[in-house]
Amino acid sequence: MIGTIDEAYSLAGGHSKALHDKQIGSLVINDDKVISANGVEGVEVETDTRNGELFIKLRVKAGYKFKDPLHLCFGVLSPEMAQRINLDIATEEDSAIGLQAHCLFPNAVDVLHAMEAKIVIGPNSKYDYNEVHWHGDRGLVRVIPHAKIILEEGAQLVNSFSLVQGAVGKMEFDYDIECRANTLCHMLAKVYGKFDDAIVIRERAHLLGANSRGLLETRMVIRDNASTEIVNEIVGEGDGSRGHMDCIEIIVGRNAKAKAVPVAIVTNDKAKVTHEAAIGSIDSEQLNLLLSRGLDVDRATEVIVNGLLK
Amino acid sequence: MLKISNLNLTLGGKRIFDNMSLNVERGEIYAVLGRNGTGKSTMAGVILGLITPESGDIYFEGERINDLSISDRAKRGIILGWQKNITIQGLTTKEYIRISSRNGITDGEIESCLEAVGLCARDYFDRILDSKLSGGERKRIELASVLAAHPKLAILDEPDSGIDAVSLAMIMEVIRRIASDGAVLLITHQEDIIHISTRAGLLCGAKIIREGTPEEAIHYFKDHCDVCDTVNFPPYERSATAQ
Repeated sequence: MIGTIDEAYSLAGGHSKALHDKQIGSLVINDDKVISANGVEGVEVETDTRNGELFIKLRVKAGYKFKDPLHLCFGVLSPEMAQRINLDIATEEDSAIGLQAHCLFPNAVDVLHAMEAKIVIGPNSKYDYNEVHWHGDRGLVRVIPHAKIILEEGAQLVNSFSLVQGAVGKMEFDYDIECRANTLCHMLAKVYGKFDDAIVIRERAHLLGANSRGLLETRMVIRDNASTEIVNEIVGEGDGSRGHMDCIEIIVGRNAKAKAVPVAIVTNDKAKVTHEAAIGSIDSEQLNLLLSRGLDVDRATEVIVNGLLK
Repeated sequence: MLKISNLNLTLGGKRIFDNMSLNVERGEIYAVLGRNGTGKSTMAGVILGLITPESGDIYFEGERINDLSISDRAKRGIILGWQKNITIQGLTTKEYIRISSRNGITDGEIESCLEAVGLCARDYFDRILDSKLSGGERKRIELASVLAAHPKLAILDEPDSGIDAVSLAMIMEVIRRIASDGAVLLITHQEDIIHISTRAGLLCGAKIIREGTPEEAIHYFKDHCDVCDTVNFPPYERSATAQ
């Protein structure tokens, strides 16, 4: 049983000092309570709790460019808990910020982590969001992040989601991104499904603006009785818009089940959307290469899986 | 050290080995020559355990290894430098060389292996073994990983492919270093590389039809191998006399 957020945060690879340093922007939530919220110059953080739901408003002021990320920690240390978060993020013009989020559910027996996010990336601003999940081994966690993201002209988004530690539980990831002119959107999801995990990822990038770029990348490994359904959709509408979907899934064992559905829609003869997907067992050439260096099958498989999810 | 005896293999209806036999002694660099498709890389696969022959024996240091797994053969000291540039997403050069070394290796030793093949360690430690590496870079990393493994028997399948002519001397020196630990079975079409071998054999018509010095093997290959499916082979001396 993990007793403190600091402990869980450190186990998940975070530096817990960052959560207490007044020079570093941070937000710490445990269960359904805000433990601390620390804004820094150029970033405003407001929090509120209503009807058992958390409301977080984060604003990045125009022109502020942060070299180091702000730290977000969404933890549930209680074995049973419903955590509902409403996130309202806006970055103003010419800003740049990175958010390092850790979602920690190490003791979960029956935990719900639901997030409704509205994110607006301002003109010519950069937003880099990296979310790492740390789950317990067998508990039931329901992870339901939904987001509506708007990239205003010239904005850039890099969104990385990683859930490779512990059992996923049930996940329904649903992101909708609207890309205006000269924007760049890169979504990357890495998930390791085990036991009876059920993973659904739906991502839609609507390339509305001229010369907008979208890349939806998915890296999955599933074993045991886990299942995935990946639905990536890119709509190429703006002149010169380019989108690409890239899904790689490795299945280990006979009972796991993977489904990938790339949806490419183009409504402009100057736009282009492409996709590639590979679903299957461990690549035999990669496996043989590692076996030929003296690894056994299990260890070689682990190296390949870890590499894919790194 | 390596003894292959009466190997037989048919793949896709084609006779690949017909009672093929071969010996490689400790300290040797044994070059296998042959036209494309004659089974040189297949031979490497059989020795490594990737391909199971219909019959025949493979002995390594006196032990029959036919029934050993790929992994166990590697643990015995048989290491293949792969012809194909295999990529593994997320695996760095440093990690790959460390895995290949099996017995643990310091960063300094990895650096030394990379520099031996003409790569600046600082630039390559964290490079991922993916398709962003050129064929020549990947080939050098492969050779560095074999060097790090200190194999008793290294099978090098076209270690020179994708390597620029200027760097060939460096690659040849690495092959010699690898051989100083044990033996090398060298599969190549590159004449300069063949010349560093201590002995060469010509694989043709599903068996080693001729063994000798590299010069003899090259000569014989050039003179006769393009028609070897249809004629009986004259002895090397006759060919030499005819010159």
